[in-house]
Amino acid sequence: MIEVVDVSKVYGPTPEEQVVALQGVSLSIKQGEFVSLIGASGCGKTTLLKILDGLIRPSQGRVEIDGNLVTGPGPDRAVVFQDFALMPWANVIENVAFGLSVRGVPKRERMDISAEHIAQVGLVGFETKNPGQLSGGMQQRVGLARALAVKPQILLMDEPFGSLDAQTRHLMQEDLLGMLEEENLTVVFVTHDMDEAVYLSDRVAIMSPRPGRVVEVLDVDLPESGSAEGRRSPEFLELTNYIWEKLRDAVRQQEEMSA
Amino acid sequence: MRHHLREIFTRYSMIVGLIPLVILFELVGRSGYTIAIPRLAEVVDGLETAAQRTDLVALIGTSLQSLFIGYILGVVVGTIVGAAIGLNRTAEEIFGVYVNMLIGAPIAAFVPLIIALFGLGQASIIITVFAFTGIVVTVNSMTGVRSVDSSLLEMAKSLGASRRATLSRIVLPSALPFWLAGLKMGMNRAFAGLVLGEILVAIVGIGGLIIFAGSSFRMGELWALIGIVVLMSLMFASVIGGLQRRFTSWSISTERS
Repeated sequence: MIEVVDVSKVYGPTPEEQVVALQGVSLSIKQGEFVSLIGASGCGKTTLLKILDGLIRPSQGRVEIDGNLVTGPGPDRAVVFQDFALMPWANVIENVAFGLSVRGVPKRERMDISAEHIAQVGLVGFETKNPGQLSGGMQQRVGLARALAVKPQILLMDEPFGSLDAQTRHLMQEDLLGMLEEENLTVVFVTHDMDEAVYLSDRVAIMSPRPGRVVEVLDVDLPESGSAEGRRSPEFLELTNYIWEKLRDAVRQQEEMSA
Repeated sequence: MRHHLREIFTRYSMIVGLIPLVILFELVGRSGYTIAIPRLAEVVDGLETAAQRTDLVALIGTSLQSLFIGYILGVVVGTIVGAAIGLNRTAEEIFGVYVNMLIGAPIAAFVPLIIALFGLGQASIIITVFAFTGIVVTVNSMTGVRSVDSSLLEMAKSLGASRRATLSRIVLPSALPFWLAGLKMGMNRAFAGLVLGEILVAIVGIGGLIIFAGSSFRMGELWALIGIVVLMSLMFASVIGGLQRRFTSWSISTERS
């Protein structure tokens, strides 16, 4: 259970130059839930994700996980980064094993665990390739395997497919659900893609920019949720349309206010 | 056949590329247009005379000794100072100003001062090589440790890596391509420092021979000696080039000319 309580984040050295990235965000996420944070750029969704991981401290408010206050990164959480964040000098298995290795897992054991997760993300045969030799989609599979290898309870994904082409993104979305099926993970997924959010999530938190805040949390309760067929159902389209209208209103209001 | 020729050309492009220059050199040499450009045969003769008159091998040995002592000192000090400046704010405040001053300054201007301080001998030459090498290595080490991708640092922090693990597993590997490039440039600078120091001290090493041959207008000898220096410089730089290919083939962002 993740509890985000009245979290605000203000950047900037002096009061005049301050930018409010997040204002009064509250959200609770249940164990095993897949929640997307969706919004236009500047809505603070990545900031919120990094606050959940403990990489950024909130200016106000707090995050609790199972009743424990988050003060920094912890072994119960792992991040999948937008730009993959792979070490270009290390091969696939070394990248996947990185988290285990800095946590002192013995070599033999971390190689076994890494091999297992490389198989899980479908990269068998690429263990000794370097990131530069892999496509973007494959690189993000490495990023996902690295996160899963440390056995987190919460997976934090920061626009993980944002830099991939449309076809690869589609494929990664379908594969992700399969890969996570047996993991019983809580997933927080940052995206600006409405279709992606509805397809993957149990709930979607719609955020609006400047100051970043959650305007609505939507239950995704579709009959064929997470299937390719469900993606073409009228209910699916209705939901993505609704999110679009919400986002559009938020962006419009913002533009009118600043005009 | 044509394909084959192209392959040979690519493989030995550096040597093939020199052919027009060599031909031009010989043509100018034969024309007798200037005393500065002799015929190639005179250059070969010059090598022989230089070898006969002095113990050329021993002199080259002395030069290489100065080169390596100065170079290694420069690499060690440059790496430590550069990495310290790049990683530590206090070190930056202490050393930064000197490094910035020396980057822009012509080190050659300091050589007479070095000679005044350390005398007309090998010590001055070693210090000159050290100064020439040290600056380049410092700057590249500094740039290297600062070049680390911030998202990799974030990744390491998120996975719970200690400061030490982050340094050894993320920062140092990121710095390696820059550091090796610095080592290579440092080698070229080391030769510049060596020859300059020896010319100014004028009694030791291959630089001493160069100034002696030049001032007595023995052009064949002079060109032969220049050739030796250039060849040695290229040889050592290509050894470092080999290290670059071996250890930093993953990096395409840094220059490795």
